[in-house]
Amino acid sequence: MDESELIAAAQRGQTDAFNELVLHYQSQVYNLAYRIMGDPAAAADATQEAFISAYQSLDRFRGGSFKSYLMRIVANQCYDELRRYKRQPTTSFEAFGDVDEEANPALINGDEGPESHLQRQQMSHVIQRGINTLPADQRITLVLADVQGMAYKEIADATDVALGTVKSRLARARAKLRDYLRQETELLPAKYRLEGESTV
Amino acid sequence: MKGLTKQEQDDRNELLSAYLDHQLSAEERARLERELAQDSALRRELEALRETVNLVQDLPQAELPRNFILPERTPQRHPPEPEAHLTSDRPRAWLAPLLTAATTIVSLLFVVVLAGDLLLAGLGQTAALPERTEPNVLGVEVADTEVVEEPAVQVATPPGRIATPGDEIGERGEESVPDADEELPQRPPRPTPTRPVGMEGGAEPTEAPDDKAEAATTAEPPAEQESQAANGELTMEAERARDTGEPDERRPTPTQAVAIAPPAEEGRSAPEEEETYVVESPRQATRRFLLRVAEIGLGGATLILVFVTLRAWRARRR
Repeated sequence: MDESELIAAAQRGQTDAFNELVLHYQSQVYNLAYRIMGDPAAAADATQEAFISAYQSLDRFRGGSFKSYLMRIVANQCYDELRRYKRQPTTSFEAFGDVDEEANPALINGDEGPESHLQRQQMSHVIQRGINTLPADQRITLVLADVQGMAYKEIADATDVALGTVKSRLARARAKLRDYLRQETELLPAKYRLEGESTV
Repeated sequence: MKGLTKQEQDDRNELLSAYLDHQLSAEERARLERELAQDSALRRELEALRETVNLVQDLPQAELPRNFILPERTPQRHPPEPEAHLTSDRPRAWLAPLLTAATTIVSLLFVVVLAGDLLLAGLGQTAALPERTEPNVLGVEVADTEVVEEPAVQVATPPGRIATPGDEIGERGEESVPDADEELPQRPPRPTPTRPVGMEGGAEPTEAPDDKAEAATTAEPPAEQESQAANGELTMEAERARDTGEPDERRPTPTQAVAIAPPAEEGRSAPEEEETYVVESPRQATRRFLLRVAEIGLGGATLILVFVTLRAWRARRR
């Protein structure tokens, strides 16, 4: 069955059909949640909730991009989680910035040497911490645009804001992250420092 | 970037960010590229931003900790979401007092219109009642018709007593329903008389003795007076038309339902001459139709408002 047939079957209540869609999209959905939440456990919870929510509200899906539909739901799920953590900081939200390689072995690339791997891990760590410093709306916009590669219009649809708002949020998020990385990458090798001269 | 305000810095960042994503118009792009060619600091900003975007895009894909397939018995539908209450129930709850007031007003309007309609219909029925019990009494549907009485009748009516169709029928005896066509040439134009309303298949009113007509007259309800007063305008016009010999446009046409009393017999005194027109004019028919429409509309609106108000109060209690 193709995607539209799976969606139609899932709308009729066939969980198996929906699980086919889950298997196809779960990696992208989890990655989005992971980059927004910055924590594997929180990302897994948000992903599971997003899939349940997507299945239960599938009758509202009226065609279009199913991927955008899922991304919108997981982005909203993460946004709600972030607000909840902000209101009830009993869970160490600060720890979200500490990307734990052991907890997320996927970040390890077996083809690179130990030193290169360590540097890349450090850089990923710094970038994720930088992302975690952003306000929730800017963070989600940045991840949707630069991690998921979504167009401005798709982001506007997914986050229910105007196109201009997407542009301004993305610009601010990038500028803040750039300033953050400038400070944090001074101790990293030159190739990781933000010292680019213009080559336009 | 020194010397720029925060707003200017934000604007510049937005321009650079959109430039990286090819979201600028040709004109904006050309202008920015001219600035970049002249401003090394701006070039550094752009490159730093470009590297930042590249770093984020190069972040490794996180590996799944597990599968996220749903269990077989996952329910299909959502329970009502809290957001849904914000957009539907909450405003209804907030509107509950307003809806209550609106329901009250519309209900009162409905009752007033209904009562008015019933009252007028009741008058008509009251006036028509003797027609069924007393064969010689003309039925006059006050609510649906206009009663036109010649001024002479008013004069002839004894004080404290109101002239009714029964009077002239009783006094006229068997000649109460003559062929009115014979009268037309001798009088100003007036509607073609027909049999009185309600007497089509019944007994001839002419057989009723006068004393019964008198009884019917005295038993007439006071509402009859109101109907006659309400029709005073038409009565005056009828009188004027007869005096001047001009046709009265408001008089009934042959196609209208007309109940007309017979003309006075020769030899009878003028005060005894009584004529009664029972006319349903188009205006009255329209008025009655509008009244019905108003009743239906107000009744429906009342029901809907009651339903919505109850829901609003239920939502408010939640």
